[in-house]
Amino acid sequence: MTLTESNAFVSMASSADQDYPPSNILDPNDKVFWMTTGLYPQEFIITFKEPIEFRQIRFVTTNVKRFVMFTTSNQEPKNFETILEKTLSNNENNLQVTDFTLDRSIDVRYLKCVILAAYDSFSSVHSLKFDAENSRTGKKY
Amino acid sequence: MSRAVPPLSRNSQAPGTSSGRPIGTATRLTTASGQRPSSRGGPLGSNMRIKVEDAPMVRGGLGGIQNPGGLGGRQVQDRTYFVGLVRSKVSDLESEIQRLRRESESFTEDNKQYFALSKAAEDLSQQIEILRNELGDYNMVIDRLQTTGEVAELKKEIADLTAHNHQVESSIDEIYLEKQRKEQRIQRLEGDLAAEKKKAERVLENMNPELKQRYTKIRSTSHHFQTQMDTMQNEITSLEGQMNKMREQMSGAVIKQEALSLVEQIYELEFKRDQLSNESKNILTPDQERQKLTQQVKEDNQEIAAMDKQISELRERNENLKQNYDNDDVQASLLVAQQSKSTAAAADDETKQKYLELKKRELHIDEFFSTYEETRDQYLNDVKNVQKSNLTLLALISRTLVKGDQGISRDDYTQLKTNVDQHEAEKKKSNDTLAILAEQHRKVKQDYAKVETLDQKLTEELKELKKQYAKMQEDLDKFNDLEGLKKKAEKRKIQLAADKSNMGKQRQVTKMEIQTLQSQFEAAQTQLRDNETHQQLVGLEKKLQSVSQACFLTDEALQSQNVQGQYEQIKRQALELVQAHNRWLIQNFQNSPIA
Repeated sequence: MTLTESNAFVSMASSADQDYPPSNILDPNDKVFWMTTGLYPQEFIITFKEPIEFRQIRFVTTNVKRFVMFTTSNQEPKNFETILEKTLSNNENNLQVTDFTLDRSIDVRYLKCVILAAYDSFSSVHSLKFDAENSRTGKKY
Repeated sequence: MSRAVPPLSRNSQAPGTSSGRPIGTATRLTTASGQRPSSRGGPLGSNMRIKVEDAPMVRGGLGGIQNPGGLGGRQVQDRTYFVGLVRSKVSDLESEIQRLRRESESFTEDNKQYFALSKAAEDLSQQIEILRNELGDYNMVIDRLQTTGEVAELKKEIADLTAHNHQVESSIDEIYLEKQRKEQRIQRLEGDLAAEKKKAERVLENMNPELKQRYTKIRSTSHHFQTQMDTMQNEITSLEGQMNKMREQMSGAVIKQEALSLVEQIYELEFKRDQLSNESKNILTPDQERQKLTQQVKEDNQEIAAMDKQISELRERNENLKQNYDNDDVQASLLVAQQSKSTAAAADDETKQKYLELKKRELHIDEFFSTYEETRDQYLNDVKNVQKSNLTLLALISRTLVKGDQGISRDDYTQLKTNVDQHEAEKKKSNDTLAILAEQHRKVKQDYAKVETLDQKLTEELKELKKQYAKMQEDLDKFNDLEGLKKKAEKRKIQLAADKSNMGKQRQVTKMEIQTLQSQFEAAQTQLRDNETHQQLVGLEKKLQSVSQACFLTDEALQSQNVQGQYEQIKRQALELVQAHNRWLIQNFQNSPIA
């Protein structure tokens, strides 16, 4: 079950290209991606129709140097709380796979990701996956 | 100017010496007309006497004594006296005029006053009238009060009257309005009438004379009838009046009235009886009626029989015609079948034509076959003849050659020469024809190329058209498949709706995010603004801008100055030119020194 078919969708993105639409972020295929334009910060928001609970995040990108993730369980996309802020190493145009496990599982209705800096003028986000606490038995979104 | 006018004065001037004096004296005279006698008595009088010894003078003196007015006229030989007189008269007149004027003014004033007063009197009389009316009213009221003694009733009456007045006023207004409306309508109708009349006149004018005559005749008759009618109407009215009078006369006697009603009844009844008798005359006996009806039936039957007969005849004729037609048809079909035996196709026109064509061709072919042998023989004979002639010619040539070896005679030579010339001319001709033919060939080739290109174009066009046709066919298929199209449209609609909802959600979220970002941005901006270094930086930037601009300006000025200052080159050029000129001069004068 892919995220696009389930209850999540990208409700806001700071860049839009016909060939690399933001919806590619939720596509589990790593070969399609969302492309940013030249200036930073760039950000996107994922909205869940039904709030979900997860603990593990898998973020696949290229050329991203530093990013922050916020979440909120409010009904409106306001008052985000930071859950993760990370600096990635330069991988020379290859995929940067970031796996991260939170201290505890959290309830999320909106997730905002801000790319603060990059190694190149353009960066791309290939996929973003969330897993519940137990990745083997948990539901994959 | 005044001096030149009267002849008298000239006379007085003639003595000359005294001319200056009398004027002065005269003026004195005029100024004081009352002192005239004394002045005359003085040196003046002696002067006059010395001057002229005329009778008039003496007389003048006498006159002066007798009556001063006459004396004055006599004495005044100079014009100044007259002037004085005239002046006095003028002043008299002026005073008179003034008096009259004053009088007239006083009159007008009086008039005015009179008018004003009369007006005032009128006003006052009016006022008196009004007051009198009022008084009458009050008197009446008092009378009323004395008779009835109720104030309230009176008031009520007054109110009623005023209401009634109002009503009447409004009704009058309405009537006035109505009248206006009616007048307007009348005007409109009159206009219409005039237009109609004009139209009628026009029609009349356009009518041909015959009709016109007829029209006039009819008109006159109508006039005649109208007058007749009018007279009749008058008669009727007079009769009616008579009748009424009679009735009035009769109204006194009851019996007479009864008799009148009875007479009227009798009239009515008689009229009815006449009617009924007429009707009864018209009614036939039943036997007669029956006979009439039977006769009618018989007639109808006869008519029906005749019609039937006619119908049967027509039917027969129709059948005959049909048979004829069928026969003709069969014949025609047989004929066609015969003709189209070879093709064995249906007997329509096209195949017939084709068949005829084929037949013609066959005939041609048959002819060719029959004549082939003969023509072949003929051609072969021709060939043989040509060969024979060739042989003889060859023999002749060989003989002549042999002869030529022995020595060509002069005749032969000339003959040969002419022959050669002829041949040459022929050759030329043939060459010409060849050239013409070549030209023709070229032209034809060009045409061919053109045709080829045209053909190519046409084929291309054909291809394109075919493509278009295929496309159209496809489109047609698509359009024919309405259901599919509908489905597609529906699908697209659904998708678009989904997109729309999605976008709406996105819009909400995006708006929020933009708001937060905006607030962040504003915060950052305020922070920046508060920062001192930023302010400094902004100031410095402005400064830098101005400085760079100034720098640019100075650069430009410098460049222009430099351009102005670079005179070295021009100087060098000028010097070179001078030197060259010098050289040229020296050279020239060395070569040709001055004579």
